[in-house]
Amino acid sequence: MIQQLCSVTVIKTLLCDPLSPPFMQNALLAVIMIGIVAGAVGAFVIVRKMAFLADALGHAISPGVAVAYLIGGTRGPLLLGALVAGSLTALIIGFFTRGGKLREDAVIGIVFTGALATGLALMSVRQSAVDLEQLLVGNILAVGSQDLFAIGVVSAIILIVIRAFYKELVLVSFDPVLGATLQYPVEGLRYLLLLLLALTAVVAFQTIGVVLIAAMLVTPAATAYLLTRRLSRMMLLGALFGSLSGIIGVMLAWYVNVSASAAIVLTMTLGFVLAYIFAPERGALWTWRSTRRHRLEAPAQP
Amino acid sequence: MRKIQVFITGSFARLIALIAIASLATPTLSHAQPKKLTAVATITIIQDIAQNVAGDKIEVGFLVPTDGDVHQFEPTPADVRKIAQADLVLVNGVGLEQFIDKLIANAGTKAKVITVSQGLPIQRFLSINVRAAATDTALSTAQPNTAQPDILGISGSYQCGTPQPGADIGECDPHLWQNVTNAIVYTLNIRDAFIAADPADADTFNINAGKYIARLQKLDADLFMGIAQIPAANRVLVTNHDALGYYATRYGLQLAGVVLPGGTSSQDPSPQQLAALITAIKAKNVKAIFLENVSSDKFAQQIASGSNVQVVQALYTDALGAPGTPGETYIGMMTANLKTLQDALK
Repeated sequence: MIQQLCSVTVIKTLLCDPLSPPFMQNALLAVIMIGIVAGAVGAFVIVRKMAFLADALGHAISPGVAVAYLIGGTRGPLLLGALVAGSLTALIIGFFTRGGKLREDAVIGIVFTGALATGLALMSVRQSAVDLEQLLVGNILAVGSQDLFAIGVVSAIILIVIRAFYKELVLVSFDPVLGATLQYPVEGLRYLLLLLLALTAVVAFQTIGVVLIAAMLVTPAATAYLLTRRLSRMMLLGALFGSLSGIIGVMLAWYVNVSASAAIVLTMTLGFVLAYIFAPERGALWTWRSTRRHRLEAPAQP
Repeated sequence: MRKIQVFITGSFARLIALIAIASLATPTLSHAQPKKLTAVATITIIQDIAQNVAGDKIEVGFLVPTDGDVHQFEPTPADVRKIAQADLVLVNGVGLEQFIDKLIANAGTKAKVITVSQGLPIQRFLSINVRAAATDTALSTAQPNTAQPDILGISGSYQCGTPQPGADIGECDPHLWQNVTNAIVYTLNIRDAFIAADPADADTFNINAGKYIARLQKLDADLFMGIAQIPAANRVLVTNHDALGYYATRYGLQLAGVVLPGGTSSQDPSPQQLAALITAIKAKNVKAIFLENVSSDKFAQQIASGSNVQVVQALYTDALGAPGTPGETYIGMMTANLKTLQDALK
């Protein structure tokens, strides 16, 4: 059946050719998993206004990855390095921003740029521009089956944790005062969320690269936020948009030989713009039309 | 308060003036130079050949480290200093060292720049023809390479053009040393340059060059015999980047494809190119993909798992190996490569 479909030239060029090489299959599976996880975690990022933190944690995994590169080249313990660096930074940032202290954005800015610079400095010791580029913008083609397995495991952990602590996370996100009254560990949950962000960065950095990780966490969730205010729906929609953009981005990388991570982020941004214009009840088009209608229906003033 | 501000500003101004004056004075301080000449080669391969010719009369250094990738090399301030203090700079030419013109201009050196490949015929990258053939005709099974390579011009006079927009690589293959007879010409060019710089030691250079060339001639013969022992149908190469074009045409191997397109190692393959390479590998019964000591194996694993070939570590291509490894000299590197090829392709 597939053979018959693939013998049609158009289908072959559009679908069968890109989907047959194993590295393309790996890439697609990877972005689907990343999209789902980033969309889900991103809902909390949007609701709690943590977009800058998401960006910071993405960049901050670079020293861990750099050390892993120094140890073993491209087959070094990259995910482990990212995990260690990401968790450490999450805890450091969480510590410095506890209690909503002043100058929080300055502290975050200092910590993550320092971490990124450490990563760059370590990479420059080996003089490998190729690896540096791979760290910064990712490499969609280099996802092996071991990487895929690791991505799958970490993604599963993230989703399980969200499911387990869902009630608590929702409550402290929307009503921290009530949460504190009910004696929920508000600070502990905040650290937990930061760790989830770090884990998402770990899942995504190999394919998307450190520079654009923030986009995965922010844009699909922001798009979902334009369409619904219910957190559970936001998470589902965010996951959907994230993985769809991932698929489109990887396919674009095949057809047009554009950078996959860039294509993914551009697709997400386009999706956001479309939602911004056309979203029911909140979109720009909708509000423009309803103000117009009210103005036309207003009784004439004497 | 104002007095303190004036004091600090004044101190800074004095400090800056002092530094400026000191930097003007430094060149004169390094006036005392040792009598022994110094030469700097860009890559360790040229350095090894040159040191064999120089013996102990000239100190030959290098820029790109062992196992270093010359296509990706970024000079550091230490390299600028090496060039500035050298009497001779030995360059491969043919576009291998993209960094060299700017580096020499920055160093402001009075050194004589020698293109060691002067006079040799420049071959077009084999991978260009391989890619063209793959899109045109059906893929054939492996055959020993009997076709003449495309010769573009002579090194030293032919201007290798920069890549055209839309083309992924320039055409000139700079890896001439992979053909040992070319290395013999390198030796002769280096000898001539040394004699011109240090006529008093001309006899030594002549003797050293003669001895080394005799060894290279034996190496050339060994490589011929060695490759001939590989079954004809197996003499198919897939390397990480297009570095073995001259080796393939001289010793009778066929290039089936390269992982990194473009003659340099700085360009990633597109997904379609990667898939095309996997198809070509399966169609031509390639037995192994050869990684290199200089470039990363980013895509090799993907290709290997997609096509079930073995991934072989590692050929010495653009740089010598670290001291203590078989590839620490030019002759050692070529001998080691022969063994690697024989073991993988038999």
